[in-house]
Amino acid sequence: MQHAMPTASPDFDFGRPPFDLLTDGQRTALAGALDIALYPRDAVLLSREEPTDAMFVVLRGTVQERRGGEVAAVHGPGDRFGLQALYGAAGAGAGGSTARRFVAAEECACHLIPRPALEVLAAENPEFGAAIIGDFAQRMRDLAALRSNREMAALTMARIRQAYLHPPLFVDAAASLRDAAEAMRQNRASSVLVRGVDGAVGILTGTDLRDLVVLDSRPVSEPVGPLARYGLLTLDRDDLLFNALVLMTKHAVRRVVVTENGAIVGLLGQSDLLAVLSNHSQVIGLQVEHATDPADLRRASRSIVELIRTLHATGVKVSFIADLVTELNRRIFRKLFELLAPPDLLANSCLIVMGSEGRGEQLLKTDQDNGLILRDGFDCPALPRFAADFTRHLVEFGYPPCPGNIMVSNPDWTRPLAGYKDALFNWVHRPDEAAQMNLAIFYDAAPVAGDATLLAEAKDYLLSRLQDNQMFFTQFARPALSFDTPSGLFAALFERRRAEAVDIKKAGIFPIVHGVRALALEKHRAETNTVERIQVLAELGALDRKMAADLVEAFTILSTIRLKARVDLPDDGPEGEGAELAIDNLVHPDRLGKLDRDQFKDCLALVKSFKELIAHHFRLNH
Amino acid sequence: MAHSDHIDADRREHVAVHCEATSFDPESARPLTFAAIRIRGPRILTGSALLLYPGSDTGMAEAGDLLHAFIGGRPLVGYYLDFSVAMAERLTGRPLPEERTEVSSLYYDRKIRSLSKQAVDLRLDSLVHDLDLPVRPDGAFGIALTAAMAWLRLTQDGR
Repeated sequence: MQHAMPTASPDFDFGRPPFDLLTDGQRTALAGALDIALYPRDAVLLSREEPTDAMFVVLRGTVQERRGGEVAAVHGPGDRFGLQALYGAAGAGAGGSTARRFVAAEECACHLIPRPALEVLAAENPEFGAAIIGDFAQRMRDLAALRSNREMAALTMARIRQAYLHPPLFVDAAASLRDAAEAMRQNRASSVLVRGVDGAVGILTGTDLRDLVVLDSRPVSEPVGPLARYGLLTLDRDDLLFNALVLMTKHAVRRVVVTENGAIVGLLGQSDLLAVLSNHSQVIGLQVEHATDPADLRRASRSIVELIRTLHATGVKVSFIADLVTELNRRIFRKLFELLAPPDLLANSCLIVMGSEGRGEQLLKTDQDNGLILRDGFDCPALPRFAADFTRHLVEFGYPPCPGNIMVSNPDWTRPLAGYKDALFNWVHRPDEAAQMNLAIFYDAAPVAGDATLLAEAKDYLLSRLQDNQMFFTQFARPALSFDTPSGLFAALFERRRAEAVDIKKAGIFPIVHGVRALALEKHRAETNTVERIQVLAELGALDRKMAADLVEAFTILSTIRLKARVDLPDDGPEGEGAELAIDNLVHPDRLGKLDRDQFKDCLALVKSFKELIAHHFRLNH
Repeated sequence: MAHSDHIDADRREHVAVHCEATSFDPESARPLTFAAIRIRGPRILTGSALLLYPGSDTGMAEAGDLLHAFIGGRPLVGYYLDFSVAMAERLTGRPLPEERTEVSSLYYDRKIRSLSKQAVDLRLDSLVHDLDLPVRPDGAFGIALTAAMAWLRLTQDGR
């Protein structure tokens, strides 16, 4: 017994897109469903931990969207947020450590559109629905760009295959509108596909039926053939779900037709798509998980390159790409290990990755740096054969063999824990150049499969052997200075020798990685990622905060430029399945845009001063 | 009945009520419109508010029952609340024992701390203006909403 509610004054601004798409009746309905909330300054409107049941539209005041300590976005009157919280994953189990929170920057008032009201409107008004969904897509792209949101990014690689497809429901062109409606009812479908006389396939939706019969007063006996809409929007079953989302948004439709080898296999509805996108924890690497032999893995592995290109092209941040590639590569390694290794080997060893792979910083497929730690006393006769197979398969997958032969197939890197301890002892106490290098990459090791405690024990041993031995650290840190970093006169250098390529790895990235590694080792830290090491060093006071922040930024920029230099290269010739993006470390300053060039210059200057800091700290100049 | 699903009152919820009547004399006035809006945390549930026109579309007693169910034991908030409550009690024929918070007296307490000599202007329009509330206090619904907003502002600030 309820009267039509008066518009919840203050008035909702229907002039703002996408609300301007609503009809008068829909506006009234929406106005009646709105709640209003008031927040004092600093109140938390929405946080990752608290799922919401409404979309927020700011009425007055300013809302800050914070990630960790940073303000990621500011929402003013008319701006809306909360859709991600509505349809995205709940916080539980997500990998992001930095929480996303919406906080009132001043006294705020918001309209809240409850989810049911939003969904009714989206269903009634497809154009509005598409705009809201489009919003959501944009939002996900934004989120994908954030390191903290590894989960969301998995979406960008979900395939249509992973979504529920409605089986196609065909009627002949001669069937009547009533037949079509009857078929829809019997099959609980919201549309039918119409086989046209000339072999073309068209679609007739429930909305079409309503419009034709109720509004246009067509007789229900009329044949559907001429009334269906032809020129279907189709996507292949192996297309990205994201493309389906984009297509639906662009054409303001709620379903696309899915084909496989050219034949129609089903319909993908907007709600099914959202269902997959909202429940995607398992999406990442699904192909890897389901692999039953190395050939499946090979396919998954090859598609990573394309993924990287796509992510990069859509402007996703490089640190995020590194996270994702690290995750995928490790899953591939783990799965391959599980496929090839006999069960007792699986239980009595630990597969480790080292170097950039261990730090989680490889952007493309870099050289293999892997090894195997066996439990002491465990003997596996099949080991040599397994090791050779493992390395051979990875090479096939496109991970080049390690030039230094740091691979499972090398017996020096496949040995019992005691053997590793002996090696570590030697590396620490009888340092030569190779020992330094081995130590450095081993310190970066991360467990991938098997018993991770084996690696932990080896690392504990390493740290226990390190006394506060100044000589050792001086030796260890020295390589940070071994390559020249052009700077200072750099501007002039640019002018005169523009075409001169700079090895970005030697001049910029390696000095940061190694200098930071030396500082971290000195503090006996267990982190392996360079950025994490920098952050923890800053917390310990071993690096001043300004330097730490600058280093992180420079490291990110240099990595981005390095990736860009490679990805942007024109494809040479037809790309076979095996087309690879090998990392090229040469950066041609004259090919950089002005912005990049300026940043590059600043970064190198910072690397230079970091090297001075390292030289001073470890007394490398004495 | 859309609103009787909340039988057990959530203690954190309040209800803002307002009644428009034929006069301001509780003895002789006849209630025309009742508006009741729940408040949950910072959120004013305008989307599920109750609006009654007793005597025109519902009988007096029926309106009283609806209102009673809607309030469901939640503390009341309002502007010149005593009058609205008196009207409500007339409708229901039962007393409304719920705790009451009079927004104008909250406001008075706030102002008297800073304004020592001037009289406090308790008119609703002045209150809306002074608290900078995004609302037009029109009709029973508008006034109940205004009371809800003012109550939130005054209690949130005092945290």
